Amino acid sequence: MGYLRVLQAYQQFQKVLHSEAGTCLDDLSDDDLEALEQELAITLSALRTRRNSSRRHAQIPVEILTTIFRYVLDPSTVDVDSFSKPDRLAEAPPDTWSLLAVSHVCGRWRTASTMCATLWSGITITKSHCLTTLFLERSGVRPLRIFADESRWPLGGMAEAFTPLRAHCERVREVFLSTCVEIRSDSGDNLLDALSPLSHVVYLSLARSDAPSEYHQQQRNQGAVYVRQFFDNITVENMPITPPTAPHLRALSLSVRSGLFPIDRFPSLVHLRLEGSVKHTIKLHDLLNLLAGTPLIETVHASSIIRVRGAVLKAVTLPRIRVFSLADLRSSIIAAVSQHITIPREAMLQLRHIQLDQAASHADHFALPVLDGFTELEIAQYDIGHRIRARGQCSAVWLHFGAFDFQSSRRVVPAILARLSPLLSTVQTVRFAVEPYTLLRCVLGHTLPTVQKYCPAISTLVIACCGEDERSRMLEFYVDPSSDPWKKCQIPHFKLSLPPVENLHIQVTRPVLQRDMILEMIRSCSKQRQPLASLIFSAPGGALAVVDGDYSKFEKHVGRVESTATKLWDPGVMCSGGSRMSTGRCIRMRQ
Amino acid sequence: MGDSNRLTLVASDGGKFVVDKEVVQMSVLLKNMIEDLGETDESIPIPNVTSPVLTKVIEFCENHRTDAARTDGPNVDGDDARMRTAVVSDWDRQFFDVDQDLMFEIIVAANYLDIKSLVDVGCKVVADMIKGKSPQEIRDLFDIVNDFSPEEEAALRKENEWANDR
Repeated sequence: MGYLRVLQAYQQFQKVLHSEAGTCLDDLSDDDLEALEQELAITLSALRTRRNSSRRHAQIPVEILTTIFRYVLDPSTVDVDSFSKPDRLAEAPPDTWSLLAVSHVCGRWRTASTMCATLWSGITITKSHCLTTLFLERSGVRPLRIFADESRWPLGGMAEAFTPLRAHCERVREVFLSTCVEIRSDSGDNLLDALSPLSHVVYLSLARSDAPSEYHQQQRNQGAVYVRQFFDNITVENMPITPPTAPHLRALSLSVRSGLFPIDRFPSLVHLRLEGSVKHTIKLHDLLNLLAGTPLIETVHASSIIRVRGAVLKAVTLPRIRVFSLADLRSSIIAAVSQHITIPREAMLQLRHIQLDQAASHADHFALPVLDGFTELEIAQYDIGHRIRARGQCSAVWLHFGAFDFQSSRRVVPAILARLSPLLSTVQTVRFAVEPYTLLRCVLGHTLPTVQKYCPAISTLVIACCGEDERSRMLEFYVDPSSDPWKKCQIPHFKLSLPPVENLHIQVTRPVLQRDMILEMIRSCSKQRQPLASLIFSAPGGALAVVDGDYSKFEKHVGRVESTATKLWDPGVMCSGGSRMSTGRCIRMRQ
Repeated sequence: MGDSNRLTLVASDGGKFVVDKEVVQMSVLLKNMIEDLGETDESIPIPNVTSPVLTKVIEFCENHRTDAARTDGPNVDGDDARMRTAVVSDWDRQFFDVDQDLMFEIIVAANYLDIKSLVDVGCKVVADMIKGKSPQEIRDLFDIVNDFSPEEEAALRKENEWANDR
């Protein structure tokens, strides 16, 4: 009723305004008119709010609205409590613009967004103190995640922009700094001291900035000092600086330019990622020394590893390690790694992007001592490099082959199988994750019979056809469903000799396999023409289209359709070392 | 005695839906009700959900009934499970390719019935519609009127200035 009265008064006012009596408004002062105008604006605002409240979207509870906003912002950048995810490395800053946009839509959305402190806890440091302050205020007492990209700063402007953060250092939990400076081996103490104000930081990522400005080019040679200056600018007055300076630091990600600095004074470090490059490699003895001082370390990812001739390698035992991953290294280093690093058997060892040493035979590329007693082995080449993953004693026995190119698939896989043959008698599951051409020509044509020979206990075969890399794109024509890739690859048409298995899992990311091909696989895998115990077919929407809509042929050979589902593993992602889920559908069939 | 594996849901407009218990157990609310009721032939009223909306909700649950079983793949951990809920498949997008009123009603119903995956997918779909749009574009999209007072408008202008000063 209140609104109705306001409306009636407004209508009366309109009449007065447009009548001759309206001339009496001439007698009103500017202040009176302004007050009247403001009152009308407020009334109008209330009426509009009323109108909005009658819309369907207004029935959405505030908590749902904030969930929507979290997704707008991107869930991976919002959940500050998810520190423990070791692979969250190249973190993208929150979408500040989208967050402001939703808070500017209407009063209800503004209230909902500004009341949700979590939304504002990821702060990209900009030139605007006011914007940073706004985020700091709205984030309440939430832990903060700070992003800063040095390459976007004007000359000398970065330090000043950190000023508003000074009073909130204790809230800072994560720092993602993209810097142009060189992090050199003599930078360690400076960085340690500089970290002091951020005494509660648990995740620190220092990455190279790709586009240094002219100013930053000048600073390059003063890297260590500059890093120090960077952190000094957010120093809280009177806060003591005493190492260890980041007692709570659990995760550290560094893109190094040369050498390493000692991080053995981070007593709580659990996750470590060191990214080198072709020019700026990580020395194996540095890495081992560094690991010797991190007793709690659980995950290690390091790339661009070299071994310096004559350098003494320290033997390191990592009792709590879960994932130990080295990438971009020569095959000859693998043996050194295996000899000097002891990890629990249940831990995962990954060696990726291995460059083959010319002198060594293929079988010698792999460090068998470390694999002794393994029950899970993953070997991959190409795109992700050779990758060995070993796990300790467990009931399931897996053998993974991933992303081998054509030549390696023919030569390396049989060589590996022959070398490992004494250990393969218990392998129950074999998984191939390869690009389409290799799948069609080698895996199905030559390799799987070899697997059958060396893995007599195999019961489950997983064929994952990925092909997200450049090479696969070049080979696109091989996977054109309208063509006949089998014929192109000169494999006897639809006559395969696959190991007889009980379970067949087919994972594809693109429509490389036509229905008849899958049927042939099923036929070939079925023991003595008995239906498979289970068939799982997973694929994203596009790939699934090849077989979508007609499962009847499958049913003849497998059994009834048990279920359909979405979002199974994306094999393309899996074989590149990730563990994300992706869209797809699953046809699960059971006898 | 009816089929003990099925039960009848009654929408707010009286529409009746016979569904598998397994399917509706994606709803925490219904799961708890089923446990409380035990073996019974009684229908379960869903007073806040109309037939068209309940039809869609059941469709979603039937399509996603095996979601829980999907976690039997390798390398599944807690983080992945969290990520998985944020993934919207092609089917999900088609499912939400309805008019906006129905879309919001489905989300509200999913929230009422406590079907987390449906709420998550719905929120993600709406978020995708919002992403990258200006406030006015969002208003146009959802038929929202700018109801800010002059003071609020002034504050928004300032925030915009700050955001542009990057």
